[in-house]
Amino acid sequence: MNTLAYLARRIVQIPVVLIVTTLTIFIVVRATPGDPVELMLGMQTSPDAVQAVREKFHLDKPLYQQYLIWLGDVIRGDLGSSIRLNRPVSQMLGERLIVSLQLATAAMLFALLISIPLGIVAAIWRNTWVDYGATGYMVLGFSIPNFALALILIYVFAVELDWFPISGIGSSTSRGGGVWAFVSPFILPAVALGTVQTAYFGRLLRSSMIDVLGQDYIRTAHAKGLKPAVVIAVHALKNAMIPFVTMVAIHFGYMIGIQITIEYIFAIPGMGLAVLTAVVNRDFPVVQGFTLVIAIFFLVTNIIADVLYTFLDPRIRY
Amino acid sequence: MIESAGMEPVLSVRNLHTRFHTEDGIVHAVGGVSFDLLPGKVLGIVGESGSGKSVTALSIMKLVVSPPGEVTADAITLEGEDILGIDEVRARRIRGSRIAMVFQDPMKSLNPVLTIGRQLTEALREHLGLSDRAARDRAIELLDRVGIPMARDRLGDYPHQFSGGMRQRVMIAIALSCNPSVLIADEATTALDVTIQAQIIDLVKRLTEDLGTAVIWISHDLGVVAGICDSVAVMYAGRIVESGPVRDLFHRPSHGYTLGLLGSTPRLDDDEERRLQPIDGLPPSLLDPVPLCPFLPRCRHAVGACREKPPAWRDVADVHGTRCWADLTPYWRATNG
Repeated sequence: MNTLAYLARRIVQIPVVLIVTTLTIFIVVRATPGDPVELMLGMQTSPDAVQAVREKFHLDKPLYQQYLIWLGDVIRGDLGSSIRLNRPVSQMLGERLIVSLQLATAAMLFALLISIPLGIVAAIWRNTWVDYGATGYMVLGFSIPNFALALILIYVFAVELDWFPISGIGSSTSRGGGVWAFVSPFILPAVALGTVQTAYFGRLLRSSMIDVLGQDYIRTAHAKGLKPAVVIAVHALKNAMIPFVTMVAIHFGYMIGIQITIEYIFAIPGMGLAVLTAVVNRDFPVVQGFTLVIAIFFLVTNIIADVLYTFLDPRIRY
Repeated sequence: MIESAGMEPVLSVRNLHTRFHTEDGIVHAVGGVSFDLLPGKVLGIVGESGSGKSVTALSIMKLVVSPPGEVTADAITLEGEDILGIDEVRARRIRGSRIAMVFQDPMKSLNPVLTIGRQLTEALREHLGLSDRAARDRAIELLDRVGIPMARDRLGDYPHQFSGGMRQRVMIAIALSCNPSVLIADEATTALDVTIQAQIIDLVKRLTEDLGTAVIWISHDLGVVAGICDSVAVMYAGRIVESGPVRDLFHRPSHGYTLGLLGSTPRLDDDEERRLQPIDGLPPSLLDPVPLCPFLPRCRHAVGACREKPPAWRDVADVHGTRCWADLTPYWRATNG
């Protein structure tokens, strides 16, 4: 089977996975106690008003019908409207997805910037103080909760040193103007969000580099009299990058879904906070719409990871 | 121990020691190896796994990782130039250009994610400073020479797209690309089918004769060594225990270990009654070198002197010497039918 056929098969699987995911969320959200209309309108509202809202959002119909109606709307490109805010879900998504993507990208760039050199030097000078230092940092990066790191970063770099703003992502009130005004509010949240990944990726690259550096073809490369930098950067890194790149792609999808605490601390209008608010208020259409997008994102990054795999490793052909 | 008969050796090694510092102690992988390699000649180094053959090669190539490895010698000279004390930058200029190496497993020795073209042209660009274009042309010529059909179309292929024998041909092309004066083939045919082995041996022999390259052929297989080498050094427990011209050594084995090796090698002209004689026991630990002959515990021919003092090097014939006290002349006829 060639790569295109494999890709086609993977893409065909997407709707199946999405139906299972959305159906699960659909049932779970509705099975938990709490009524969106009562939460929105309050207890004192007349039964007629409640009934009207219920009918508008098809909440009076049986569960399977509700799902089918929602699914039909989604296929036509309509994600419905928020029960609480009475705004189209797609509109809310649009605003927040961009912010979340920007934050995830920034965090990923930070994670790569730190983890690649860290993993390489730790592998080259393994069991020396360089390696111990790098490994020590990785343990620290793993262990520190991101909210704690966020608070430390805010205290040191925003409050005491005043280098970066505490918040301001997605707002037009950033100080100054131009690129820095856009970039600066991302720095602290990106560091807080990406530190776990610096440790995770660093450790992954370290172990795959150590594995690769022990291979016979590295000895061959040295036996050819190549410069050590060429042996590392071309012969070793290209092999070590195969598991690394795949993991990075998968983690990018993951980073979209785990931003809630960071969004909360830095007052970032991202997807996480929107989903949290929607869940608390039983705002079903918003929860479903956002879940759908996150699931799609996860699936797409996984497929991208698989495709990258074939590019990096000529032995892999689907 | 193999003396140069008037000719200036291309590679000369004197008293090479390689130790590895491990948690269990110091492993004496190579314990005082000396030999001369004459221009255009093929020297075989035989011995079982762990006898120090490969480590000897890697030590000469300066590919022993230090730490834990430690290489010392009285002298290592390449074409009259001392290469023992040179720094890593100069060692790198020699590797791949003046001494090249072919390894055992061609699947593992070629980088799986780089094209054959890339792996072939690297050394050319590094050592000869060829342009991409010139290196490519030379690569095609080399592949053609080692017998890879449609060489031009195969530069973009990856190692997994070649068969085992073809991969080893590529390795040979890489090793010979910069026209080295010494080629070290470390178990270069061990991982291959017997028919392919013969082709590869033939190829190496033909190419190195054409190019005038001297070869160190490392193998545990006496048959292969007999087919390709001019002279042989037999290694045991990190030392050369016997060395000499290949015919002389096979006809007049003068060390208990060599005799044992010959007795355990099947031959086509064997009588039906002749049974293969395995060498009983295991090679000694290299952690604590014994002062006596290291083969003593396994030797069937040990004499009184073997238990009293370490064997001294003695000449058996012209440029044929051994490190053995026993007189093995009664067996010369027996092993050669």
